[in-house]
Amino acid sequence: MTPILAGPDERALREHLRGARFQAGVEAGRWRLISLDWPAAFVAVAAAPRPSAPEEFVIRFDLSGYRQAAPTGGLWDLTAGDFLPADRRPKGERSGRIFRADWENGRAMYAAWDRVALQGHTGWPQQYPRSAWNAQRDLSFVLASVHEVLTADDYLGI
Amino acid sequence: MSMELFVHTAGREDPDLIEVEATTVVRELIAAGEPDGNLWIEEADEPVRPDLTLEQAGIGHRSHVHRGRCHRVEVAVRFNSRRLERSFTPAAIIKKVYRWASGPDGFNLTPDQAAKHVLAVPGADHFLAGDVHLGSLVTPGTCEVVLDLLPRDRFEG
Repeated sequence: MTPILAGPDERALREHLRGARFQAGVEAGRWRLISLDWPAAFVAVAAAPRPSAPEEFVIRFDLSGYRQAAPTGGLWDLTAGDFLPADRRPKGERSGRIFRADWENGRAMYAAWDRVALQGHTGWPQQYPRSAWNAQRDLSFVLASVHEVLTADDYLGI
Repeated sequence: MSMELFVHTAGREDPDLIEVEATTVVRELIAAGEPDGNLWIEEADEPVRPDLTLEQAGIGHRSHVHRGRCHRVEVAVRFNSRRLERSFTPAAIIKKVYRWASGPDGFNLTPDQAAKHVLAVPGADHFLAGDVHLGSLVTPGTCEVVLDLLPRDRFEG
């Protein structure tokens, strides 16, 4: 039987997962890889303590074409095996906007680092060059951006 | 016993993850990258004594250290046509610089305003992550850093 070899996108992702930037985030408790079932990756991102809110949120990423193509991902309920319902999503000016449930059924982030969002907002790379995905970024860029939003003063919990 | 260290240096925002022996003498780690430099534990004001081993210096598995030649870094932060300056240890993290720049000794932003601003290197294609070492950003040949305090992106459209 011929072994199935990982493609260049999967190899690039696995290399980044071993790299210093991703590992520094793991070591600091900012995020952790739960599982990788290519092209899906489930990553938990820590959130600031808020009453009745979880300590972390899980994002289900689709990393097809990484890293020429941007990742896309939405908040995930590991128990239900589905995207997180609106009443359990982060609230706050920025977190509520990025993780809005009323757009794309909550399966993607409303942010310039998300593939689905970029497909619908072709001007975002020029409008938001410091946040937009490009092929020089890696998954840690997205995770750091999400972690910042979930630990900022304007994150209100769920 | 071997261990891993996150080593931050000038010219690179991301650290290197290296494997070393706990019995390695600090001087050897310095010489491997910056012969005339020093080594700091993250956030420490004073460098580690070069004659100690890593474990004697309290540097453990997956510690963050800064290797560089600048003893202090002079940082200037620009915001709304104003400019403030202060010196920090090269091992200071950007989150600390941001807290100063946005706080009462800096531009005195309200908590709401502060949450909407972030530091960036002028002309860079990204905002700075909070865990970047200030000493990693020094302009080549100097011990100075210029940063802009910018509004965060608010995605609309």
